[in-house]
Amino acid sequence: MKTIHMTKNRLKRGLQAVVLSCLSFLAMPSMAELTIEINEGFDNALPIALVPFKLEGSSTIPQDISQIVANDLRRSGRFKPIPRNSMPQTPSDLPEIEYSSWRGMDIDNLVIGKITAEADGSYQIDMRLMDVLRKQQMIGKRWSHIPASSLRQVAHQISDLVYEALTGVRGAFNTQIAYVTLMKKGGKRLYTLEVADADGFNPQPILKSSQPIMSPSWSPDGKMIAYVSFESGRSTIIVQSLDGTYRTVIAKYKGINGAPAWSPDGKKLAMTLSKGGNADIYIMDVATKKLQQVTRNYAIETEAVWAPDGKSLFYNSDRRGNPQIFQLDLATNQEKRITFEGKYNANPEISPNGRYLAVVQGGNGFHIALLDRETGDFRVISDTYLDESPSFSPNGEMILYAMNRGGSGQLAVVTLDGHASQTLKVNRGEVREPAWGPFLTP
Amino acid sequence: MIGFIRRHPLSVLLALVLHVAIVSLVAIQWDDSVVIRMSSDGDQHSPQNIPVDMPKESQPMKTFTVNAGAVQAELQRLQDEEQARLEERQRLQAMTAQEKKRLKELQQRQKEEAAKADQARKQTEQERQKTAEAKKRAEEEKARADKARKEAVLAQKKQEEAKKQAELAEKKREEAKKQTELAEKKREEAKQQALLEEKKREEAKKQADLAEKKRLAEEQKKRELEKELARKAEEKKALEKATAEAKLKKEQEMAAAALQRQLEEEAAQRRAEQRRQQLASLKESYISAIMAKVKNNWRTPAKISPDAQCDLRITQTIEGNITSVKVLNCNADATPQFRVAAEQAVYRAEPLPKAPEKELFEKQITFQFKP
Repeated sequence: MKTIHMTKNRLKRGLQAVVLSCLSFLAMPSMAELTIEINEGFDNALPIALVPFKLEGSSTIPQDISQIVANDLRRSGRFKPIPRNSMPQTPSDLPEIEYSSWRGMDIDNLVIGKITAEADGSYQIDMRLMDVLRKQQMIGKRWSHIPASSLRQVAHQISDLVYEALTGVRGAFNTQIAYVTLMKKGGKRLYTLEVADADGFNPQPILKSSQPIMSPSWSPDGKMIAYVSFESGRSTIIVQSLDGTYRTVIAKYKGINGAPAWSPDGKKLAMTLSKGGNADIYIMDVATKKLQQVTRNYAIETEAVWAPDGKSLFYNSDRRGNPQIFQLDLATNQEKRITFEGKYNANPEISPNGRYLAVVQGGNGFHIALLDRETGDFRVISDTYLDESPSFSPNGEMILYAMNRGGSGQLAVVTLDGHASQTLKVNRGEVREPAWGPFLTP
Repeated sequence: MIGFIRRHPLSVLLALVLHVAIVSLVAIQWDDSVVIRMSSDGDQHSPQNIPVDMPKESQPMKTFTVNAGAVQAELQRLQDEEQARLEERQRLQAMTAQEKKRLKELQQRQKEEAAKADQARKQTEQERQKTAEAKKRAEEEKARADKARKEAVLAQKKQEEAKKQAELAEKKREEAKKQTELAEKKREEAKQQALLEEKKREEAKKQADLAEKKRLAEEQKKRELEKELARKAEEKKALEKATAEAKLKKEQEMAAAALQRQLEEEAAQRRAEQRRQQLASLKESYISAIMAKVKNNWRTPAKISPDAQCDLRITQTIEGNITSVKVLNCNADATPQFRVAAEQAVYRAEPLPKAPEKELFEKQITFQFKP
């Protein structure tokens, strides 16, 4: 949980409970596979055909690339891939395409391709995005010497290309998400911090603990994750590289050490510390570990996030009696209240373009609400319950958040307009504290 | 002479012919008015009688008075003419004698020349000499004949003169008779003149009656003419009136026709304007239908600014099939995805709505597209 949206008393009780937990995760079962459920899509989703890629040089293929692309596009809510059994043909090259057949099925776009097994065990992938109406090729691309383990990544790259070509927005399919799973077995709890592909596949645990793990935060370059761990008996902020070569505790102060957030340039971390007796926002220089307190208020200020330009912080403060979102200009040290609607607005997350602010809005349960900072429009976009930890996709098109369904924690993805959503869940466990990673390439 | 003739027979012959011709010309009278013909018999050369208007029945001789002066003058004139004829006959006789003489000389010369020729040619010209002699005899014969003829002519002229004297006397008698007849004729003429004058008087009276009648007739005719003129004037007036009325009627008809034409033209213009407005309305509906169909086929997964807009230039067939689409003049809010989606919307809308009228069909249509 990245935010601490509790009253002072609730916060203290929670912290005491966390401190009592221990690091017994090594004895627990390992990673849990995420299952994705597509709940709904856009009404006007664009039909698209992802023709099975033709396999050459081998009789089997480790990954069904066209299916991965179809799933990616379907999850975006903007596309409606047609079932394979309804396809009129399965062309793999331009001369084979019968445009009239596809047009008769109301298909505007067609993705065709080939996978060629190379002698060294790698693969060559060719893909084309065709405009059926204009009978033009919109994209043609080839990947060579791709190992089998990277075929999914190539598939996500294809999804990104298609998505960007047709929507004008960079695709975020070839990205990763971090989340914490909780497995309960025999009265024991196992918390695992995992990193997986954006579609939930390839989950990789980077930390397992019998004690809670909270608030994962991606470094801007996607190579590091900062998180809160209670493995030492109390909250500490740890920075760890994804490849496991680096792990260090950067904040282990008295009291609360929570809610780390990387600055856009990756040189600083904003965090919540209560070493002064009251939870306030601090900024730590990652290289020098030098701290700078930026809020000084009797109330709790926590869950800070950086504005995309790095010049201000959005955070949650209950100085008005209930949690509301404030913005602090780091240059002038001026604070201003951002949210006014609702009695409870916490856990802020700013979109990559700075326009939208997602918050957990309380009142009638807890839902994800979105504030359009340009228009002032502020509305709930999720229809789930006990929502928390919103996280924007790096292209700003979707929000990943945690919610509770049937008493079990699950993840959900929703578009900014709330028209499409999907659920990511683990069998026999809970998943929470999601954080969507940055683009893997600039 | 004979020798000369033998040497120059042709010249001698020519000279002989020439002399004969001259003698003949002298003997012939070329002008009747001049030549005095003398004849003793009553042939065709006899003097003509002076025609006398003789009464059909023999009238008893009547005495009349003769103008002695006139008779004397007439006798003198006849004597003068007789004298002139005698002189002329003497002159001709002289000329004939001279000619004879000259002919004799000529014959003598010819004889001499022939003798010379005979001597020169002797025997060879013997026959020619005979011929010449024969010819000479013939000429002599002819000369004699001419002479006899001239004598006969002279005798005839003398006889004619005597006859003429007799005729003159007869003519005098006839003249006296003619005078008598002339007097009678004058009486008859006087009588005829009296009758003529009577006739003239009657004629004058008749002329006067006729003139009166003519005057009356002319007056009548004048009255009739005036009446006719009046009638014609009336007719002309009526004709002019009818013409004017016809002209007026024609003008009225023309004005009515012009008005009708103007009304028809105005009606045609109104119909054309209504048609134009109808077509403009239909065309607007047609373009709107195309735009609506394109909008209905608008579909894109991209987020499009509500302010985005582009011009779409569509080229189509008459059946509404699209041959090309061009996206033009896009504003700053129109992303590449918007342009593609707009183009796709057009293709998706194929076939485009057909033009309600053939003349409204536009092969190329450009409209502003804003989804």
